[in-house]
Amino acid sequence: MFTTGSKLLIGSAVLATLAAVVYGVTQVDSLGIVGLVSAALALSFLAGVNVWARDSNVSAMDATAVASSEAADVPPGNSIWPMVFAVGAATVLLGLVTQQSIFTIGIVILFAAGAQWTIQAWAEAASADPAVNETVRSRLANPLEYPLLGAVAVGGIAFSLSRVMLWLSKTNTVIAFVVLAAIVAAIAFFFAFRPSVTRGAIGGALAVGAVAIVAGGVAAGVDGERDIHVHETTADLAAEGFCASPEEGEPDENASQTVAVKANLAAEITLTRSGTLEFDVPGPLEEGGLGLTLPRANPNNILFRNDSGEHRRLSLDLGMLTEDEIAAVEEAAAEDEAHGDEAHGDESHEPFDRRQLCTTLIESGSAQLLTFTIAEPSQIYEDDPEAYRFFVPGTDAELNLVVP
Amino acid sequence: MTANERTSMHGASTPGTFGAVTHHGRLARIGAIATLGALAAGCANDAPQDTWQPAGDNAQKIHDLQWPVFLIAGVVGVAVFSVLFYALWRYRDTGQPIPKQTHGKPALEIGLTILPALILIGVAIPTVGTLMALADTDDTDCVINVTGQQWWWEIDYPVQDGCGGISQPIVTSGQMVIEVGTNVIVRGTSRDVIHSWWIPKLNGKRDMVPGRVHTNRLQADEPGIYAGQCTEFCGLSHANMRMEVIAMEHDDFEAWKANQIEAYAAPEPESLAAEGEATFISQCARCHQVDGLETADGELQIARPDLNVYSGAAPNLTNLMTRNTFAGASYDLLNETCRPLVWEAPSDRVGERYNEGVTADCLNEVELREWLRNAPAKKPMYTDPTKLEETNSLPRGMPYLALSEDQIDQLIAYLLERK
Repeated sequence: MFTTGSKLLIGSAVLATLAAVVYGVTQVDSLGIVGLVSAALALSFLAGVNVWARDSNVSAMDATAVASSEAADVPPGNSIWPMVFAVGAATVLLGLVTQQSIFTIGIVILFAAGAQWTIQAWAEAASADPAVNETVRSRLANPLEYPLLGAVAVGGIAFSLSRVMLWLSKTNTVIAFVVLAAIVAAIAFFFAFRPSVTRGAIGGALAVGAVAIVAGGVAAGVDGERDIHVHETTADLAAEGFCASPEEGEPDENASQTVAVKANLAAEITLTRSGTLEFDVPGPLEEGGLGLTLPRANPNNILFRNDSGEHRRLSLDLGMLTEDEIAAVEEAAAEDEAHGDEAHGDESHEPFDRRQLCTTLIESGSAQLLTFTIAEPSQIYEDDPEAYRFFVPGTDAELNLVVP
Repeated sequence: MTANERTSMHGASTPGTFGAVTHHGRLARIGAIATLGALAAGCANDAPQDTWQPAGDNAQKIHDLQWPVFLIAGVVGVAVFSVLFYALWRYRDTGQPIPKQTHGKPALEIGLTILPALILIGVAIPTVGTLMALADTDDTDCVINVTGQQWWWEIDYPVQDGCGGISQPIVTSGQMVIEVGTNVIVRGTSRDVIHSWWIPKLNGKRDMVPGRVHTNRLQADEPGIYAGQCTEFCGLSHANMRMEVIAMEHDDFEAWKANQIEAYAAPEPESLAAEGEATFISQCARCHQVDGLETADGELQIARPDLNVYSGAAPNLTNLMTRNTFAGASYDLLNETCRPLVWEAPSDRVGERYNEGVTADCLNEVELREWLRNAPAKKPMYTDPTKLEETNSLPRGMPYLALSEDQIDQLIAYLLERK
């Protein structure tokens, strides 16, 4: 006779095997079949171990224990989990024909209900005493339930707060959350200095707070985010031919905040107060020589530091555009002319014929990254129109770039 | 044949007992042979990637650390397994009653917590010290960039005052040349997937990750050829992604550098090599760069591997015949006669012989020809045009080019002059 756990594992192994067969016949993807076959093997192994160990709670020496133990005399209790499991299965089916997100929610319900159902069934086989069985269930399930439910609660509150923050203006967000923090602190002090406050009152206050936050988050989410100003990207500047210009409508006053990959710099280039470009790379390379050497066909992160005392940008000139590229640029310029270039207000730019990249205009004392990949080697290193060079518009600062 | 008949054939006086002894004896013999085999595997004479034979101060630092760590780990391992096996044997189930169950023994538990903690602290202090020493770049005198891609290493020397001064960038592949005694800093990255750079006799491993620059120190005490291999699984030909570091004396290194930046010398007009140059331009130059090579109309021939292969790079062949391996250092450019002259050269002559490069007499023409005839047949690569949807039809590795035998003759003649 098979024990309860064995039946569960044998059934799961058979199900996984059938799923593997069905999947293998209907799908060409090999990863899924590998996963299902692996699951079938693992479950078969566990089933074998369980049959051999007889659920670990029935004496191997007692051949009749499965039928005669106290646990065997107690019928299983009522459980909500089969119903939740069915809801999960229905949600999965619904998700298959509607949206992926519903399918995902169904899978989560299915697994959660399946796990709870399994644990409950396992616990009910422990003894004839429901209280003991509940303790057994809690001992196994609570270490999983508490962190997961806690994470869901924290995630929900954090998400709600983020919606509120995005709904309020930047200034009002600061004010609102300072006030909110003060209220939380005041209530906490109140509870701390009033030990007689009941547990229910504290729980009620927390529940009201959580509901208020979630409700606020829902309302803010429905109303939508505030208008968030979109800054010009370096790619936009290059595409619109602003890299040769020392001016720009909107200098980036917080450029350093965009720098997050300092550990992986190919080089650091500094515009000094004396107006020269100096570079530093990992290792003992000295300044001078032909210039900075960077590898070909690989992304390079360059950190530009502006110590000049003025708003400046670093630009990279990679030679002449091809005729097709120039034609595309002229077409884009004509379109801008026809529709008005909103991004740069009154500024206008001339069609350009050089391949250039650049940082935004940044304030003195700050830094910004420029990331680029160069496909073609710089065969010519001298004063040649095709030579690669870094420069700073509005100054004479230049630095040759060598790409082997 | 019954079990009893089989037993009686062995002549056992007590069949059951004799059978058990034989079985155990056989297992013991198999175990002993397997153990001896495993031990013997550590005694290989020709082991170019042996981390227990350091040949530079970085590898020596690791070696000085691994000895005591392995010693301590060995003592702990022997002690733990001895106690474990003793307990298994001493208290095995012989039908005795279950002993009285007790819970906890604070003194023992605290002792067995403190002792491992002390051991780990004792191991951690020199380990952290070694890691910091190996991460130091302040005392390095030469920068070499290494870029991994499926399945070869590109090695380039940027313009610098280091390395004795390099006035023009040098690009090579598969073999890194350094000066003996010089502290080299390798700056490594990758163009496609994660690779790992490891020259066991010179230093530990360093992962080469796309979008990141990782450094690795190298220094060789003596001239020689130090083998390495990619040690992060990187796809189909991971096992064929090899590399060597060639350490040579100062004068040899200077000669090597001077040779690498020599201007391009076009083949003699109307020679087989000149035909090879034209074939190279039509068949190979869209991926492989040869610095200084000009097209028929006098324009510099610029390779665009970024348009033709997934990694965006292919080995620079400007000085192919100054190296002595190809195809990710998987194959020798030197034939069996000439290879030992370089690879087994006396230490003081390694640089000189390496700098002689590959001559027509020494060329491993058989394998180079096979490679040109059908590269994917020589090295597993993703080049089947019908299976390249994921890479936008770009192959990973050198594809089959359907070259004729005449074209291969021309290319070999041309490539032999690339040094």
